[in-house]
Amino acid sequence: MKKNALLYCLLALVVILASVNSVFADDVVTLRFQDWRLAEEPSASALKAIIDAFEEAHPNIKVELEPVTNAERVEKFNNQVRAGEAPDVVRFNVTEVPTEISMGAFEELDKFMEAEGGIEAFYADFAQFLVGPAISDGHAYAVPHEGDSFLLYLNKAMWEEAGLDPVNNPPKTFEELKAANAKLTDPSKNQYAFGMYPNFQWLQSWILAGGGRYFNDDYTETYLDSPESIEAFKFYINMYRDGEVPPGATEVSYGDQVALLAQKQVAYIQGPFATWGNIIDANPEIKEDLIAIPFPGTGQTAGRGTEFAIGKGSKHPEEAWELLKWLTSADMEFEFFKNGSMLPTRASALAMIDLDEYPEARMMIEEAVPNTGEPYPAFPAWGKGQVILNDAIAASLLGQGDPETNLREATEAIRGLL
Amino acid sequence: MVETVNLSNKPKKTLFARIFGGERLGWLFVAPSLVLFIITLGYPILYAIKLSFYDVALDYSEKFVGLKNFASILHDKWFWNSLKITLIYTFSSVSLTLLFGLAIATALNARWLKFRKLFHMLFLVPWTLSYVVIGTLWRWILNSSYGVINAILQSLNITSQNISFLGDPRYALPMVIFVNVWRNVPFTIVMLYAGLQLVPSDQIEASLVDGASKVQSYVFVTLPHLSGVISTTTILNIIWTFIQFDLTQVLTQGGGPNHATELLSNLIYANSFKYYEFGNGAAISVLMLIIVLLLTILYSKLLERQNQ
Repeated sequence: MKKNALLYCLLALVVILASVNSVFADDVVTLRFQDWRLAEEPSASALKAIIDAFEEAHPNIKVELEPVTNAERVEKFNNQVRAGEAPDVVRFNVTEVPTEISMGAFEELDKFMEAEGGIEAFYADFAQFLVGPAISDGHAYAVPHEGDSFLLYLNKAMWEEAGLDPVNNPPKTFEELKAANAKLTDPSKNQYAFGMYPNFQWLQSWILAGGGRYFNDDYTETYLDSPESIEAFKFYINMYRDGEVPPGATEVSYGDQVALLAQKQVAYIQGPFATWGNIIDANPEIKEDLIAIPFPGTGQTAGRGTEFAIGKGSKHPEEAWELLKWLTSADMEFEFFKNGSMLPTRASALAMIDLDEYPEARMMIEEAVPNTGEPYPAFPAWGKGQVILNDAIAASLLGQGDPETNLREATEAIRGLL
Repeated sequence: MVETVNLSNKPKKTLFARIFGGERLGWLFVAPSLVLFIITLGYPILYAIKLSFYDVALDYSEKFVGLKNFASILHDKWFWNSLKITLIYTFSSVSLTLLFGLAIATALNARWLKFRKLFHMLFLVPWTLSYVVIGTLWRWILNSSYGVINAILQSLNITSQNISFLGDPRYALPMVIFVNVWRNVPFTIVMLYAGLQLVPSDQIEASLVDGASKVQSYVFVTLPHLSGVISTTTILNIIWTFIQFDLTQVLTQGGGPNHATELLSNLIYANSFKYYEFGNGAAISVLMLIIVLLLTILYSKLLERQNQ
């Protein structure tokens, strides 16, 4: 009898322990975090450290990382949304955010922001050009994470070998840049002036530097066919047609463009702040010769950035919001700047940057960001618009038609989308 | 009393036999495949056909628009461009694949060839790789800045500057066709080599004894025996190449430069997942389906004729 009682007690203990264990196991929520920055260095390592810290601070939340390639990410996410399998937290380029909101691909964030003091108060610390596209019909859908503007990154040694002094006397006009291009180009040595990565986003900075712009503030009119925009477009295309750019620009990716400068096949490229880290990552030896200068002309460039959102149908929106808040907090944005080479979008995080400690950020923070002309286009129909503009760029580079005619035709087609 | 035996009294049928007796038993056997077919092929095809008559908004709400999507794509210059590119790509690839496949299969069949198994193995390697792997591999090989082909051409002083094989429309389509032929020749070799094994050697020897040259013997004796295999392989290659998607999606990033290598399948993808015009994408799919169905009917007729 005693033996049986002991056996029953032991059995009961096992059952209790098992159920207690399962209760605790059920308490751990697993979030899926999808980001193409997880597939790139140095941002991947920086993000992983930030996520590790999040898991440590939130023992009840586990984060599953889902790196995606830049090429496949949008289609993949949209298919996941349609299948009801969207990741809990996802990163998007600002230019894509309004389209995704229109597609109903993101969860609304109003109730979370209300708990933080209201939508306006929550967004107050962020770069405002990134906040606009995150809001639709007064509802919030995304939170900015990193953003900046464009500079020209150049190999000082190559410029000096060509008899130029980019540190003290950088080209200030398009004419001066054209003259420098001629000196920097020597096809017999497989050396070219500019590493071109032709696309509508990169082109926008040349249009702004030339005094033009893409759209008005509410996207009801485009200025792509203004005289200034057309002249800037022709200058950009002619850099390729005049042989100042390596052959095959239409097949160049962002990584190729960085590799061209890192391998000293070109003397300069354009890029946001992250490009600095990417170049050094590709060739650490180039660090001593790497400098950044503003664009010639007006010096104005395009504002770019990325935002985080909660995927539609997330099973754990509260926990996803916790992760989103963590990633976009001032401290973590600063961490991401230090280790991921990305500029913060929060004013309070920007204020943490000591420019004497991080001199590579000085030009971007003091010159480029304050001189941002207009942000990347961000409105729902832009998905089709960007293809039209990219086609015009590619056709012009390939000598298929006159650049001015191509741009005018593209502008008319884009005007039809507004 | 004479006991009579009712001879017509058959043994009682079981419930299974009553339900699945006669022809219905056949349906039972094909049912698993049929269900799988309906789920994986039938439903998506019917859904695509339905979608081709609808305008799908960004929030996926659907509105019936009749034949508007078909009218829209038939007025789209990029549709006609893609159709032209697809036809050039298909017929160039298939012709070259057949030509090289026949030449290599004949060489492998030659009595004088040594290391036959080694060659068999080597020629099969491209067939074992997926289009995505091949696309990535050749993208590196043909790269205009750091590709090995450009390095070789320059080191041999054949070119003075790098050539943009995939970024220049003059070279891009021929390069994609070349890579596709490289990938598909092994299948043709296997098929034709098997066919060559079945050619009666006494007929070849008889033709040679009768005074035919080796070329004449090949053309008038060997090739007629291969006609069945050649037509089957060709039709299969046409169908597979016509619906191909992944090679150009990876190698020329969906049909670049500026649509120079954009196949119909790439255009469907772009319409559906880049422009979010699902109705247009579905309409192109339906047109493509009709073309492929016609090719499949042609293939079936050919098989039927061979069997007869």
